[in-house]
Amino acid sequence: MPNSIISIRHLAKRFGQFEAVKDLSLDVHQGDVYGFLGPNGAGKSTTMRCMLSLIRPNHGDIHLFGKDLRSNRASILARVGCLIEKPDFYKFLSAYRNLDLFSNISGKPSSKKEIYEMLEFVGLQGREKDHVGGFSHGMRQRLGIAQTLLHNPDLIVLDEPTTGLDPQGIIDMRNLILRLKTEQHKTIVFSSHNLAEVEILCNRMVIIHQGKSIVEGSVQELLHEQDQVIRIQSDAVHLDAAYSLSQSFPKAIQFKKLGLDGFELTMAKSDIPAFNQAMVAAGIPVYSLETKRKLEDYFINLLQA
Amino acid sequence: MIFLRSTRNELIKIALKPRSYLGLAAITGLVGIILFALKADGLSMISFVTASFEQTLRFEGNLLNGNLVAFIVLQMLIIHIPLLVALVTGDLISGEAAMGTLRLLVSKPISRTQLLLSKFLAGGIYTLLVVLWLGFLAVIVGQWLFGVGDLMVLNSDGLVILQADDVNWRYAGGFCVAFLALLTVSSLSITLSCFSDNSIGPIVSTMAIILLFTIIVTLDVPIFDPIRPYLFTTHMAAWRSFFEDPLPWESIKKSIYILLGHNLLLIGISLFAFHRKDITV
Amino acid sequence: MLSFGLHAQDPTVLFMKLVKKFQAVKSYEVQATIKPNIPLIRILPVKAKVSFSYPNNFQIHAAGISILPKNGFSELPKLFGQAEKFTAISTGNENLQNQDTEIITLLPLDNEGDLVLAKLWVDATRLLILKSQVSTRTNGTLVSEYFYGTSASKGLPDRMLVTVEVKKFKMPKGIATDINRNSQPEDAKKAQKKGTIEVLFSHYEIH
Repeated sequence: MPNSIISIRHLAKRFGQFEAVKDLSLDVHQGDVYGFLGPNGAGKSTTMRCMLSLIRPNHGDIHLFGKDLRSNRASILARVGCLIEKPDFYKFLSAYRNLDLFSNISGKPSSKKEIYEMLEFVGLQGREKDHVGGFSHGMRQRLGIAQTLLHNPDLIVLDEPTTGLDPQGIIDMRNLILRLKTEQHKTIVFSSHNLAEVEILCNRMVIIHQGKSIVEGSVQELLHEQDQVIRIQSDAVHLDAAYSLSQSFPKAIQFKKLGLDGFELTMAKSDIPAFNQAMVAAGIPVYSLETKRKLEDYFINLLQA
Repeated sequence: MIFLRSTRNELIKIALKPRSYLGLAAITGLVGIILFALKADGLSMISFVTASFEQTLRFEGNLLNGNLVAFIVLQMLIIHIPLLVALVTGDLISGEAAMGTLRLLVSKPISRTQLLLSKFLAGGIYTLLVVLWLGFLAVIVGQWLFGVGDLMVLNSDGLVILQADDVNWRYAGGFCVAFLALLTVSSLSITLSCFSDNSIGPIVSTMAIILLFTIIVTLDVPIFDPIRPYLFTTHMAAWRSFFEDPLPWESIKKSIYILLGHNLLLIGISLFAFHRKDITV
Repeated sequence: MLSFGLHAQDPTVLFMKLVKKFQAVKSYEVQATIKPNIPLIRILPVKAKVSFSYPNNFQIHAAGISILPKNGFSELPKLFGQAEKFTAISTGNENLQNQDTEIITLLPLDNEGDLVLAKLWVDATRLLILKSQVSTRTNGTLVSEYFYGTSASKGLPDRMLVTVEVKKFKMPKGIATDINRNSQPEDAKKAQKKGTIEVLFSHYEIH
């Protein structure tokens, strides 16, 4: 496939009797922000670790940058930066020393100036000589990002990068990913449990369940295959009227009351403005109208299917 | 080049880890205690050794000198030094796994072979440092405190008295062989470290193996005769052979070959295991 | 036929002549090379400097460790220093070092001293002791042979060969930790029971 940065075919990995990955195939194109979605134990982390040669697959081929990972490991990994689960460093070493050690074996060692600049970039200026043992989780996450980006990789692999971060940290991480994509045209693969995050950040995704790829493709295409779920807050008096009104919209389905004064309805995205206008015209007050993250429903539906 | 950079990394980690100095401090303390005890009452210890001969003979000269003191220090610490080495080297892989840094290391362009061999090399350098420090304290400080003189060594087949100017090269050779023996301990602990994800397991396992093999070596039971010559603990005291007269070169060479063989075998096992290890922590 | 006894000197007279000859040398220093040849002990020859001052003070100065008989070289000087406490008996003759010697046995007059018996093989012609056998309560029996050269006129030997008993030597366990030695100890029956210490003297400086 043209411009395919990652190409995985028929990947399989077994740990004892447990099949973590059964028969997984996917492609990541250059410039993608590619999301790995799946419940715990689906095989996301195992797949990522296979890509980074942390785990030996029992079967299958992995190609990165058009080269076989098995026979071109060093040249491939020199172009990859990764942050796998929580960022772990040598607690008894300083932030600078940690980055220095890892950069020494990352292909091209970084200079002291480059390390200091990267620490400033991730917001750790002034903490270069502090021991990592005294860092908060957020600071270590930022150090992890610094370690990932220090050697200017072409492919960035992030395994649940926002786990454990405070809200501001999560926003910063998302902004960083978007900047890396738009400004530096990096290819990014990341896994997350936060479906909204994937919807916001990713252009392509795969949903993995029980070691297999359930569906793979463009996030936008996947979303347009499904209707939107809207939530409306009105008042208790008008709920019946709202229900009756919804029956006049043929594609509006699955009316469900929410509490005493709200309801939920599934309908095509293009019908939402018309339904809103119809409610106002019918005198049904609309105190709030929000679209539920469709991907969550999509995800749950697929899994249940 | 990446191999050398990785070795530098490993040495930095060893140098900046507080545990590394535990062994060196312990050696300093232990040797200090022994030197103090010998300074206070070393002559009575010598009398115990020479008592049988002193019924008809008399020993003239400086018996309790730095050369003898160094020998006594080495004899006493030969059991303890392996633990102090394993404390650091047993942590080189499993410690990384426990800390979570192993997955970052293995995801780098450096091959697993180079990464592991750099750890072996760094562990060997640390072991050499331990041996040199022990040698400095035992020989140099011992000679400074007690002076130099002929060395009186008691073997099971008799007393050997080596002249002072014939001793230093023996110590050099003895320390080389002692280093090789401790390097085997280092290699064993690193090998066990490849099979573990926690720090303490490989260290305890290394000491358990040394104790077990030492018991097998010292038990005078014929059933162990076939394996005894090939256990590395049999050759851990090979450094003493340098203080016999005449020098048993064949025995020393055999010990060197067996210890080298153990090191190669352990490195081979480690490489095999580490290449197949799935980094899931 | 004349018996040899008619030519032998009176043992007491002979002994006193020896004592007088010994007392003529008040002090000296001599270079010595000590060569022990003792089972269970391996040691290279050691060079030393021996100093003597009358009546029986010996000082040995060596760079390294040397092994000497228990009482060093002082057996005979002690004997000579207490000459009046012994009675001398002639107990025969023997040919030693191609010389006819008279054997004088010295018995203590009382039982309180450490020395219980001494035998001297004396070259009466040159007034030299060629061999001595001294038995003490504390140190057993020590046999020494003396060989003379340029300092014979002063009664000072060039070479001395001391024989020591080794059958009582035992290796203390727990100290000899060459745990890897698998060879069995020598059969006790085959073990030597005696060892020698040879001392070569040269360059006497007699004061």
